[in-house]
Amino acid sequence: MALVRNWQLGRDMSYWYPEARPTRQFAAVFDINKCIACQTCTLACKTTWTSGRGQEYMLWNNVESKPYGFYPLAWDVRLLDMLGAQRWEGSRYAGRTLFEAAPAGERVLGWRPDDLDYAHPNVGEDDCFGRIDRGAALSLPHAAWFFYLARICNHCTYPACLASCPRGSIYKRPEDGIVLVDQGRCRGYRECVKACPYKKVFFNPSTGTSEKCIACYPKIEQGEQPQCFVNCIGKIRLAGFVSVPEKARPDNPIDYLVHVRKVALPLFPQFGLEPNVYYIPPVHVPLPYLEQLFGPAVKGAVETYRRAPEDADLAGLLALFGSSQQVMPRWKRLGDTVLGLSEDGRELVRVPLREPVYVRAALDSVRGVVRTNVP
Amino acid sequence: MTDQIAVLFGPFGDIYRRDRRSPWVGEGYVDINPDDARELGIDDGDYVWIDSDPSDRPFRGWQKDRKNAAFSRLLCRARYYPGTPRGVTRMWFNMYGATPGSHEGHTTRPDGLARNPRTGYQAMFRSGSHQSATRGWLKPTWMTDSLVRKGLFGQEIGKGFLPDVHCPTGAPRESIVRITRAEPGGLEGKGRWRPVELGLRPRYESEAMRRYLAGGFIDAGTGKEG
Repeated sequence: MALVRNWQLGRDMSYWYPEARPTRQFAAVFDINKCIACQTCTLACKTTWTSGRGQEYMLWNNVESKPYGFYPLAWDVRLLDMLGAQRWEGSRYAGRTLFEAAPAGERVLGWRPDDLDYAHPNVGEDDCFGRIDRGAALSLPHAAWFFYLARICNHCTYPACLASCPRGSIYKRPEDGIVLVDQGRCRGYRECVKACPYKKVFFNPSTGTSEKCIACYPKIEQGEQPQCFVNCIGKIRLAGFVSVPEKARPDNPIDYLVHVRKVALPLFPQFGLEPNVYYIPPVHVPLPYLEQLFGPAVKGAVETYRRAPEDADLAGLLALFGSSQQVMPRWKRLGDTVLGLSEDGRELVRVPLREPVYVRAALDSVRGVVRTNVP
Repeated sequence: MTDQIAVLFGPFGDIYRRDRRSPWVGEGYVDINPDDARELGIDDGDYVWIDSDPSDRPFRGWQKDRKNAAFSRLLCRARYYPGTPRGVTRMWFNMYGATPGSHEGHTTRPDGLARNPRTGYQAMFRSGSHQSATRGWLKPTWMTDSLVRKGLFGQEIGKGFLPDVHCPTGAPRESIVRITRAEPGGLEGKGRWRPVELGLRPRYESEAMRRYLAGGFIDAGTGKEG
C-alpha cells in the first residue's frame, strides 16, 4: 500500500500502487440537465465495440434513470450499503474509501454481480421518487423527481480494477490516462469486475477475459471525441483532459468547469478512485441525494449552473458541447462568439454564444395565409 | 440494432430471454399507479390481462371468432409507475402487436419467441397489443395527398405538411379498461419479479434502498434541507 494524493477528497489516501499520474488525463464533462435518455450514446457504443459473441449483455456506455435505475441491478446502493454511512468535513472526506475499507487480505471493498443483475439494463426507466396525486403536476416545484445518469468508464486516476488485478493485466496509459485490459494477459479471474464500484468492467464468457470501455482510444489518438460523445443528440458531453487543481488552466474547458467554476463534479468521489468523468448535477433533485452521489460541492455547482444564463463565460463554454467531433483542449470567448481551440491555439470550431432564434410572423403576407407557430 | 433498442425499451428487457414467456428481448407493458395495482392484487412485473368494452373490442364479433380472438386479447407486464395518478394507466403506442403468426410462434416454439415462423415478424406482445383496447380511427383523408384538405389549426396551405394528412393516427387513443392479474412476474412465472424481490422497486424498497433514496449514506455536513 502507498500513500497517494486524491484531490477530490481533499486529502491523501492509501492505494495499492504509488501515485503515477499520466502526462495528460482523459476526462469528460456530462451535463445531466440536458440528457433525455434517448440511448443514442448507448447504441453508438454498442454498434462500434460490443456486437460480438459474449458481449451481448455488455453496455460499456449506459444511461439509467435515477433513483430507481441501475445497470447492473443495485450497483451503487449495494456498495453504499456495504461501505456504510460516511461523512465529509467541509471539502475534506472524513470517511473511508473503498481501498481503506477493504476486508483483510483484499485490496478493494467490492462485490461481483450475478449474471441476472445485468438482465434489465433499463429497469427503473422514468420512475420518479414521490407520488403524483391528482393535480400535482400543476404545482411548482414538483415534489417528485428523477433524472438520467449517462455512464461510461471513469478512467479513474486510482482505478480499483487495476489495483485488484492479481496478474497486473490492467494498465493506465501514461500518455492519456485511459485504462485498458490487456486481452493477452487477462485470465478472467474477474477480480476487476468485483472491484470496480461503477461496474464498468465486464467478463466475456466467450473469450474468457474481461473487457471495458476504451474511451475510443483510436479516436482520441487522432484528436477526435469518442463515439458516445459525437453521437449525443442532446449535446450533453464534452471530452478533453483534466489537470490536477494546482495546474488548472482557465483556457482548458474541462479545467474551467471542474476547477475554476466547480460546476462539474465526480460521481461517488467518496469511493476514492478519483474518477475522471465529471457531471453537472441536475438542478431539481433534493440535496441529500445529490450529496450522496456528487459530494459536498454539489450545492454550489447547482447554484452556479442556475446562473449560467447571465454568465457569458459559462454559457459560452456550454455552447461548445457537441459542437465539434474533435477534442478541444483549449477554448476562449470573444464577445458573442465562442472558439474551440487546439493545444497550440488553432481554431477548431466557432459557435455563437447563444443560438439565434427566429420566430416567424403568424401571417404569411406573401401567400396570404396564417401559419401555426409551435413553441 | 432493433433488438438492442427493444432491450432498452422499458424495464423488462433481457437480451438472453431468460424468461421464455417474454415475447422477445423486450416487451410491451402497462404503467400503473402502484396503489391501484395493490388494490387489484397485482405485483410489479406481473403479467396482466387488459380488457375494454366487450361489445366491440378487441374487435367486433370476437365472441364468434375464436381463431382471431386467441391472439387479440392484450396480455402484458404491469410496471409500478409512481408518475401516473390513480385511475390512469399508460402504454406506449409504438410497439409491435401480436399477430396470428407471432402468436403461433409464441405458443409452439420451445423457446417461446413470439415470431412468425413463416415471415419472421417479431411481436413485442405475447397476445394483443395496445390497440386491443382501443378503436381504430382512420382519418377521412389519411395519407391521401390529392384529396381536398380542410383547414386545421389555422393552416390552409395547399401543399406541404398538414396534420390532417401526415400525422400518425389510429393508435393513440384513450379507453376505459379492466386490468386483471394473469401470472406472477418471477422467472418462468415463479414468485415475484427479481427487482421486486431485491427491494429495488417503488413500494417494495428494502431498508438500504430507502436510505439511498433519502441520501442517507453520506453526511456532507451541509444540513439536510433539500
